[in-house]
Amino acid sequence: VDPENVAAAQQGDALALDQLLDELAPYVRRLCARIAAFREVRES
Amino acid sequence: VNDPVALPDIDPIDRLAILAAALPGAAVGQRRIAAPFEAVWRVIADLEHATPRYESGVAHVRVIEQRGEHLRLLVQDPDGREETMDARLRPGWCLMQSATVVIAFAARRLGRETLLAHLEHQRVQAPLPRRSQPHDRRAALAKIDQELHTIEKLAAHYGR
Repeated sequence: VDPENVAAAQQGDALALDQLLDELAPYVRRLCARIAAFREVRES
Repeated sequence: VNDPVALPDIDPIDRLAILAAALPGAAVGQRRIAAPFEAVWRVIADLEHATPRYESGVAHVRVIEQRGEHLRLLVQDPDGREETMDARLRPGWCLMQSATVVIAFAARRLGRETLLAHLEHQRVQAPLPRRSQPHDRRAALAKIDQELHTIEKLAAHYGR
């Protein structure tokens, strides 16, 4: 993640935020998938 | 769940909700449009011809640069004032911004119909008396409703 892009998004640059969502989504998705898999194992 | 790579991208309607959360004061409306996704998106993507037909604040739009999904637009209001906008356009997602405004459209396929969401955010707002603010917000939401209604009519026409 480009820190300049983060700063631009924080200052209201909507296209920078859009770019940031593209970059962060795979990470958040992996994180959520692991949490879901962990819960599935624990609750089975 | 076991193959995150195969999971789809963020749904455009969800992406618009995230954008709205990051832009305090943004006005957002959505409408279930009785036209297929392709017809609705043909209207949104036709920035030069369709935008002046549903957006009263725009007289002319010209695409002056395009690199893949990224566009630069020259937008003229009815009084002849010009503004440059940067945009990102792909099926289901259109985001445009200038120094004064952020505009977004997001579409989700609903069988033979389409859910279309629209966001407008004014960056530069003159200080207004507190009492007039709810009225302005209602006016902004009414404007969005009207635009979505017009887009539905245009989509019926474009879909023929």
